[in-house]
This record gives sequence, C-alpha cells and structure tokens, in this order.
Amino acid sequence: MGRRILVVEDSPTQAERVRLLLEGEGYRVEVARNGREGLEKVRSTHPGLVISDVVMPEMDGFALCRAVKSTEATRRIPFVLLTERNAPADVIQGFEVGADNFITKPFTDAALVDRVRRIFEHLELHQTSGGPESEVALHVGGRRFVVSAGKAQIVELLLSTLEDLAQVNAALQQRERELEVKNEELEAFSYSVSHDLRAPLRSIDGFSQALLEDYAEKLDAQGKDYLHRVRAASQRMAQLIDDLLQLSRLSRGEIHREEVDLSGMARAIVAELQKTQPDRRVEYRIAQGVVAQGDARLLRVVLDNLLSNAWKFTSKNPQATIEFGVTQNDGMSAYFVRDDGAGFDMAYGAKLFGPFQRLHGPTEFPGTGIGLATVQRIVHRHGGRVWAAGAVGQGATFSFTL
Amino acid sequence: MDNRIILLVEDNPDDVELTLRALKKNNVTNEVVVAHDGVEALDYLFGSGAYAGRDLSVMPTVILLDLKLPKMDGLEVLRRLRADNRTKLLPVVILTSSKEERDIVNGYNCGANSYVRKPIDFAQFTEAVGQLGLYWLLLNEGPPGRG
Repeated sequence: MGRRILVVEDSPTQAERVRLLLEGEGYRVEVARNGREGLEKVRSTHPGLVISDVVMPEMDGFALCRAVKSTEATRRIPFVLLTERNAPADVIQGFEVGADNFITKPFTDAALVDRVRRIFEHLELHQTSGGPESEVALHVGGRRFVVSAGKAQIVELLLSTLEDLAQVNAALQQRERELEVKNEELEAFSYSVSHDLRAPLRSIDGFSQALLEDYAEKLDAQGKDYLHRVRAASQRMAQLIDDLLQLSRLSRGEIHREEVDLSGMARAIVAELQKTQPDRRVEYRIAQGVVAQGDARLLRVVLDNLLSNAWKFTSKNPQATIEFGVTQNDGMSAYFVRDDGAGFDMAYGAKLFGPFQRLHGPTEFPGTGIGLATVQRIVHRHGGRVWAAGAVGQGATFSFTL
Repeated sequence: MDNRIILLVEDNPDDVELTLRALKKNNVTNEVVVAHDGVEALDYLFGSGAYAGRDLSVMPTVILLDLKLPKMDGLEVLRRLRADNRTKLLPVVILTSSKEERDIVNGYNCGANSYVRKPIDFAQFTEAVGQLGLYWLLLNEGPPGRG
C-alpha cells in the first residue's frame, strides 16, 4: 500500500512540483491550497504525513499544525513545515505548535525525497514510543516559546539540520574548488600571454627596423613611413599587453590592509611627474595628513593613475592646478583628485571606467585606456566606489571611497 | 675579448637572428654558440649528444638563457648548471619575454646572475644586448680558470 502524503501549499506550481516528485517515488499525494482546506482533508482522510507551507491565506501553516496536533485523533500524524532558509524564529514557532520536522526552502528534489523517506523510516521506528513529555519554555528573539516536542522529534530535527548544513557546506566547497581552478587557469593564461604574445611583436618591430637600416636606399619616403607605422603599432600593442596583464594581476592576490599615508604618496607622485617635464607650470594642492586603510601597493597604483591622468589632461594648460584631498560623504571618506584640464563630457562618463575605453584620440592625449579600469578594479576590491565629475574644458574630479 | 664565447640558448629563430644582429650592431664580434633548446645547451656545456668529445676546457664567458624552451625549460637548465662543478660558477643572464614576478624570483633562486626582459622596441633591445655584451665580456671579471 502506497503511503499517503497531504501537501498543503498555496502556490500551484510549488504544489505540483512536490506532488510529481513524491508520486514519482511511489507515494500517493493529495494537495490542499490553504490551511483550512488542509485541515478538512487531514480530518477526513488521515494521511500518513502532512507537508505544509508556512505562509498561506485563510489559515497559515502554524495554525494548521496546531489544529492537527491538538486533536487526539490526528496528533500522531507527522507534520513537516516548509520554511524559508535562515528563519530560526519559524523553526521555534513550528516546534511550539508541535511540528515534527522542517524542510528549508529552496530545496533540491533529492533533499525532499530523502527527508520524506527518513521521516517514514523513523515513524516506524518510534511507533511504539512517544507519549507526553514535559514542556520546555525558551526565549528566542525576545519572544517566549513553549516547546513540547519529544526527544525523538528533537533528534530528528537535529539530524535534518546537520544534513542541511552538510549540503550547504558541500556546495560551498565545490564552489571554492571551481574558483581555485578558474584562478589557476587565469594565471596560466596570463603567464602564456606574457611570454608568447610578446615574442612575435619583437620580430615585427625588430625586422621592420632592420629593413629601415639595411634597405633604406631601396625604400622611398612612403615605404619608410609605412615601416615606421608598423613599428609604432607593434610597440603600442606591447603596451596594451602589459597594461592588460597588470589589470588581470590586480584581480588576483590578497589585499593587505594597513594604514596608508595618501598625502605623502600623492606628494611623491607629483614630484616624479614634475621631473618628467620640469618646465610645466603646475600648482599642486595636496591636503595634509590624509590617511586611509587599504593595500599600500594597490593604492599607490590608484593615485599614480589618477594623478598621471590629471597631469596628462592639463598638459595643454599654460598654468594648471592639480588637487588631492578628502571630503566626508554620508560619514564615508571620499578621496579625490581634481584638475582644471581638458575635462570630459558627462554624457560619456560611464564609459570612462571600461577597459580600453577612451574619450580622446591618441594624438590628442596618449594612452591605452586601461588606467581608470585599473583604478576601478582596485577600488572595488577594497569594497569602495569610484566616480567622476567634470565638463569639457573645465577639468575633472575623480573621487573614490575604500 | 675575441676568444670569449657567448652561449645563446634560444628556441625562436627570429629572436636568434635579432640577438645576433643586436650584437653585431654593438660591434660584439665574439663567437656565439646557439642552442635551440635546453637539452642542446646542456649537451654543449657537458660535451654530450651532438657535442660529444668537445673540448670542455673552452667554456662560454656568459650564457644568455631564455626561459620558455622546448624539451627542458630555462630554469631546469640553470638548476643543472648550478648542480655541476664544471658549470656552477658560469655567469648566466636570463634573457626572456616576461617580467612576471615568479619568473624573476625563480630565476634568481635558481642562481641566475642577472635577469633582463627583452624589450619589444628593437632600438631598446639593441641597447640592452650591447650593455650585456659590454658588461659580461669586458667589465666583469669572470670566475678564474675559464675560457
């Protein structure tokens, strides 16, 4: 004789899923759409097991359970509640109304079938035992619950909880292994890029140069110009590869948080920039004593990129100003780099942080378009946010939190 | 410096050609022995395989060693060199494409004397090779008792 299960569930699709699944396992399944209908069916058909949702119209799962358990004729029918994951209060309340077990949503087909099978097995085991046991009162989340569940019920629940935990844990470990494999693949990929993609470029550049040197008399001006273009392109590609590798390297490795003197860092960087073109007239306004918690090496890359950009995009100003400082934004420190250079059209602002996205042609301002993508990745890895404000011809401000 | 030999361990024929060209541009006219993989390099150094019977009193003054090589990679070649009394003191310059940190660290850990990344720009490459030649063939006093 097939065991009969009553499924009380207001969602027709959920009810259907459970019905098909359990029928496939040889159980006879009836469905009720709310607690009131469920109670009528429990009383009229005496199923071997009730599986009930908690949140339902008219009569919820707790009320149904209490009604089933408070009637002598039906109180021996095992009652399983379908609860949301991470809702301990549901579990306690379920116990208070006398539920025998729980299945946490979302559940896998296999988990549901296993749980139901075990409940029936234990039912047979404990058929003889039972009888009223003393009540336990406890406080959870500021509420008082009185639990009258028997030892068998509690052990059963404990087992189920462990089972759930083991499943979640196994899934997590699987994910971790997958992540490790992906990281290794990425590592191998960058390593290969670093070695193998550069070698052909060296040939392209080297032999173009050899042609220019050894066959100069056979080439007219246009021929030489073409070779110069070939060389420029191969060198640009080499730069792109290096930048891309740097970007990918930033996604890996640990973040070592420590106190970082951003003011000192900014001063060192602008001093280096000034050395590259000592004649340029730039006024630096570096705020004093700005410190942040973050990875010193990575934050150096952030400031390097932002200040180099400020330096680059003010290169056409006869007199420029570059500023570094911090403001308070909703209690968060927002660090910023501001310049009065070429600026940008806010309409394209979203594009700024994408890799290889540029708002200026290479002849206007040089660059590969990787700097701000790098900045964004580092800031995100710190759990922060980066944004830009500006207008064409009126400079730009880049701000970030950590 | 004319009798001083350079051993170039490099599998990419383009890189061989470019390195030889760069040496020539720098007026380095020393003999360059080219080994196209790690095994060939060891054969030359230890007088085995195709180099069986070679006069082992003649050793290269400097070895320019690529890392990514067929059969046996550069680090393994370096390990074998350092493990053998006949070659453990030979100056070895790693000359390779990458500047991956782990390549550099592994290179020095295995006993490299120097690590140079091949620049893409041939002018820079020529400059780098010229400086290597000048330093290792002229300036540097090698370990005593070698070719």
